[in-house]
Amino acid sequence: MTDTFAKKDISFKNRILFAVTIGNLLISIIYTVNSLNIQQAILYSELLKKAQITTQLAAKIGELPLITKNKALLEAEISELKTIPEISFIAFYDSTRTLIINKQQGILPDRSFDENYDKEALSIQEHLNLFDVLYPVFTSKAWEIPGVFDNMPQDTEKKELIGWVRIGFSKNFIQQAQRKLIITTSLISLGFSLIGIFILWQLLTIVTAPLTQLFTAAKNIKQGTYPNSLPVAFNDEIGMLTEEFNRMSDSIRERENMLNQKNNELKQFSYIVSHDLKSPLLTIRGFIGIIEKNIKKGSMESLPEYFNFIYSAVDHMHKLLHELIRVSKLEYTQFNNQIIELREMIQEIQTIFKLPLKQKNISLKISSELATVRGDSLRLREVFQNLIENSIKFMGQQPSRLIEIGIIKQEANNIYYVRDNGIGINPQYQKRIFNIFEQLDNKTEGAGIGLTIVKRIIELHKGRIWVESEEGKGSTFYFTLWETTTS
Amino acid sequence: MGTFFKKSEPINILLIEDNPAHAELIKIVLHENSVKNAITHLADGETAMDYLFKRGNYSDNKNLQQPHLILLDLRLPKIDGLDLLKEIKNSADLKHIPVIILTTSDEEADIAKAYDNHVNSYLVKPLEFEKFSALMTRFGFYWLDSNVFPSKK
Repeated sequence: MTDTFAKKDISFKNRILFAVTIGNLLISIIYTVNSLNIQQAILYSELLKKAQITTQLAAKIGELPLITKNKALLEAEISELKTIPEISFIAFYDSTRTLIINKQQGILPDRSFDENYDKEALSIQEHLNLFDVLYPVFTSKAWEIPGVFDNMPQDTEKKELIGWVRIGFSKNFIQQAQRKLIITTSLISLGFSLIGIFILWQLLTIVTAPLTQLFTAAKNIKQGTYPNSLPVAFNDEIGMLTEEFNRMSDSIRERENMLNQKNNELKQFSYIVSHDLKSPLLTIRGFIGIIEKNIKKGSMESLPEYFNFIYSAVDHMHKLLHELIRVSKLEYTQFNNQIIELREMIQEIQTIFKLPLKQKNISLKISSELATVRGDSLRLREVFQNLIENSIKFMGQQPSRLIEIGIIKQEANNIYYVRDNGIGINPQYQKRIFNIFEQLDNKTEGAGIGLTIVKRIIELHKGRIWVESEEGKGSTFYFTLWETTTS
Repeated sequence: MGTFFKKSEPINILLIEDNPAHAELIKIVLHENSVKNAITHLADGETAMDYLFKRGNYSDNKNLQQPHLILLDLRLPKIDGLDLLKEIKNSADLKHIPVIILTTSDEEADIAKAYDNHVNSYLVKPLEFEKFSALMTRFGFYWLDSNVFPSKK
């Protein structure tokens, strides 16, 4: 981790890791210092014990050479002691405190003999690098010549100070041991820290993976691509958040799709309308121009035909504008939500079509299962009127002509239908029939707006409309109202 | 105004246009300039498809000559102009025939789609008659007089 990172760039994971690593380091340091202290105490006490024993031993060894004042013997005796690694010097003094032997190069540290010189006790001075241990050497002398009075009591024995032994015990070993300890503890804590970080990293990955996933998905949504449903591993807080996120993402996608669809419909609508309104204008201007030319030339025979083109273009335009106003009224007049008796309403419509039904010899069957429905009665009337009118218009010439209006009852959404056994619709045109000003046959009357209006009304009632049809066998228009989406 | 009938063989034009008034206008303006060119007028996409692919009502008519040139409107009943264009340009027998879109639509999407489907030219019908007449005259000079068509297979 660098120390120049911007605050915002630190991820949750890295923050936790950073904190834990710092904590780990602190604990390691405290642990190391503590271990060092304990170890130091142990090593010190061990060294002191060793110093005590060694010094007392040296005193014993030095006793005889000191008595005999044999320097060579003394040197020989202590050479063995010199093999003890902790010992940095061994010195002997005689009873007059004069240095006899110094087994070390250079000068011994200063040492006063003021205290304890006549008591059998260790005097330890601590220096930076060593313990300086001083110990008096005594010799036991019998009061009388030994062997004469065998039963002589012990306490008549007299101790005589014959010199001092002084040994320096180096602390180097302790320092070395401590250096070693620092290195080992540091390595161990480093190892544990790394393992800890690794485990923590794995744990954090498990924890933050769903969050990272959510973050990426949210970013994708912002850019307009919708992710598939994110997997939910556990039913915990993050799992719940993920589920909620999935629902949110779905509903945004749904809404966007709907808006796109509406937008496309609107685009298509304005495209078609502008195209269809332009056409008659060209017709009118074109034939005016031709008529003008013909009048100049004096040829009059085609004029009535040309005038007819102009008249019908004007009429057509009038019709288109009228239908456009109908469509816009449909959007902007108030929607009255009321309970409608469907059967009654359709029977009323039937009376409007009484004449054409009779002329074309068509029977109209209204299912008795049609009951009440909630909706805008004027608009729904328009739906049935348009569908029945279409069925009559495209009935064809077959002998038994039938229009059926009914309902398919379902648990979720009832389906209403208007079915005829007329000429039917070629499958490749079926998707186009709901477009505005769309006429499959330009010889039929009407502006091609009826089904556009029907579709719009059904949509206002939160329903869908679709057609199933086979050429020569008839068409069925199905629609739903107040559709409940089961998702 | 000049005429286009320099060529010995008359040029057959197939006009696919659902608006009878527009079809009449086109015919009048083209005939003003050239009497020799035969114009066949069809009013919807399906009939045009039958005619071109010799199907349906045209299946028996083996002598039916392929047009030299197709003038095509975009918004047609039954089969849309763009779909018809696609069919023509996907057909090994028909793709050599120049197709010229003649429509009131100046929508970018329409123009792009038409060229994507290898249209040979795209003309927008002007609303003023003078401009329309001038456009058709230029069209005549170029396509019927200057342009060289492939020989029929």
